[in-house]
Formats: sequence, C-alpha cells, structure tokens
Amino acid sequence: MPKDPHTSKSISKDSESLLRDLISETKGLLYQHLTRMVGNHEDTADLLQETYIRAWKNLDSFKGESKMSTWVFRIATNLALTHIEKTKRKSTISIDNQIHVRASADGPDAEDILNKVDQAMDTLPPKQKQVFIMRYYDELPYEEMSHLTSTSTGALKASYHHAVKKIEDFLTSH
Amino acid sequence: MNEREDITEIAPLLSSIEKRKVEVPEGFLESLEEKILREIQPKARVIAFKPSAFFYMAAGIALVMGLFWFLRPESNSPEQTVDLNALVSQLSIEEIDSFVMMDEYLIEEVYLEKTGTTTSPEIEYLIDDDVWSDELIIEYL
Repeated sequence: MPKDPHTSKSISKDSESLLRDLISETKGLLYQHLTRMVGNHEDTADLLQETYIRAWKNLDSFKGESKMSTWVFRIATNLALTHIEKTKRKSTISIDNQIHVRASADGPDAEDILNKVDQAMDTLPPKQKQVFIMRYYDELPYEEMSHLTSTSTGALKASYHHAVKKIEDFLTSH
Repeated sequence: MNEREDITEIAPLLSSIEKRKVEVPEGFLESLEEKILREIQPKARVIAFKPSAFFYMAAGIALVMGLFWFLRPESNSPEQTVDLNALVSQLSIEEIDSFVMMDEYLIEEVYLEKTGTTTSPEIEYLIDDDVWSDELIIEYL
C-alpha cells in the first residue's frame, strides 16, 4: 500500500472505520490537552488535524505495542511541544486571549485564582507543563504518562511535584 | 492515591480549587471526523469534482486567446493593408497583388478611385473574358 495518503492511498472501509473510531475516542481529551498546552482554539484545531493526518500516514507503522489512543496522544503531545518551542508564544489559557473557558468555581476570587493558575502554568518549561497538564487536568496514571513520554514514572513524579510546587509558589506570591 | 491527594501537602491552595474546564466551540468536535476524512482524500479526486477548476481554466484560456487577438501582427488581407486613398502608382507589387485577389467588382472600383479616370478598356476586357491573371493586371497597372 502506498505510504502517502495525500496522493494515492485509498481509504478502505476498514481503515476509514478505524480512523473514525480513533478520532471519536480521542478528540475530546486531545482537544482539552492541546488547548491547555498552546492556549488558543486556532492552534489547537491545526494541531488536532495534523495529529490525525500523521496518524493516518503512519497507520501502517503502528506496531500495536500500546493502545492506539495512547499512540495518537503521543503524536499530539509531541506536536504541541514542537509548536511551543517553535513559536515561543505565550501559551496560557486566559480570558484575554479569547480562549473558550468556563470556570468551575464560582465568584470573582475563584476566577482570579484560576487565571493565576494559568499564568503560573505558562511559566513552566514546556515539558514540565506537559507533565503537569497530563497529571493534573487529564488525570492520566503515571504508567500511561510513562508510555506517552518515554520517561520513567519516577522522573515524571518528580517533574510533576516540581511543577505543582512552582504553581503553588506563584499563587501564594501573586 | 489520585493527583489531588498527592499534592495536598505541597500545594494546599492549588488542591483546594476547582479545575478550569476548556470549552469547545460548538460543533467543532462533531464535524472533526468528516473534516479529517476530507483532508486525507487523494487530491486528484478532489480536483476532479471541483467545478471551479474548470471555470478558472476556461477563463484562463479565454484570456490568453484574447491577448493573442489583441496583440496579433497586422494582417496581410487586402481590406486591411491596402490604402484606398493611395494612387495606384504608389502601391507596391504586394498591394497590387492584393487587389488581384479581390473580386472583379472591387478591382474595378479601386482602379477608378485611384486613377480618377474611367475604367480602362483593357481591364474591362480582361475581367469580362475572365482571362486576366495576376501577372496581366500587375503589368497593366
């Protein structure tokens, strides 16, 4: 089967169905994760599309060593890290940058704290921010995070605790 | 132990607040699958069913043809190259030759206009008997 889906790869019913299932299963979580990483809908939409296109292109090379959803999540997070490092843009979720967010907490104080969390998150190095989002927001177990990042669970725990400490310090000092 | 429990001690403030949810623009995720599947279709299939491609191609061809017509070199046709106000003696061999290529009536008319005299009997003879040739006309003029 040809490798390039843009030119000659035909979509069989099976592979189309597989892709549909994959998108359906992962799009919600990936959208949340990518938005927290890059901070706006437009970039998230681009990255999400690129993620699935890359997955499609490399479907033949997927060895089944992990769940397909984990494999796609890894593609997405790598793309997000590359995007952040490439653009060096501010990647926080804030009210000002028109991101669509909804505060779970009530009242102005809660909203203020949530904004500070976003600001604090933006001060983290990209990989530490990635770990924090995976653990704090996405609530992934360390074992899965280890698969996703090819990092030991011990290193991930340490990274997460450093990130949490930095954010707590930011919240108490601002 | 979940992530909230394991940060309570080191981050009491962070662990006490609700997490902010990301709100997805309406309809975005619902249309994502179709959008991705369209994106990975072979490009050729997309172009083949794109009517605007034919429109732009036809417009381009028409534009090029129009430019060629507008910028074409002057034609050698008699109507366009022979100056009807010039005297016959001023015409070149090529121009006279163009006259010969016209029909009989026009040859006579042009002759009259250029010489200001009556129709030459020699011309009339040649025309009437249909024996004239390019060479004869040119020689006479």
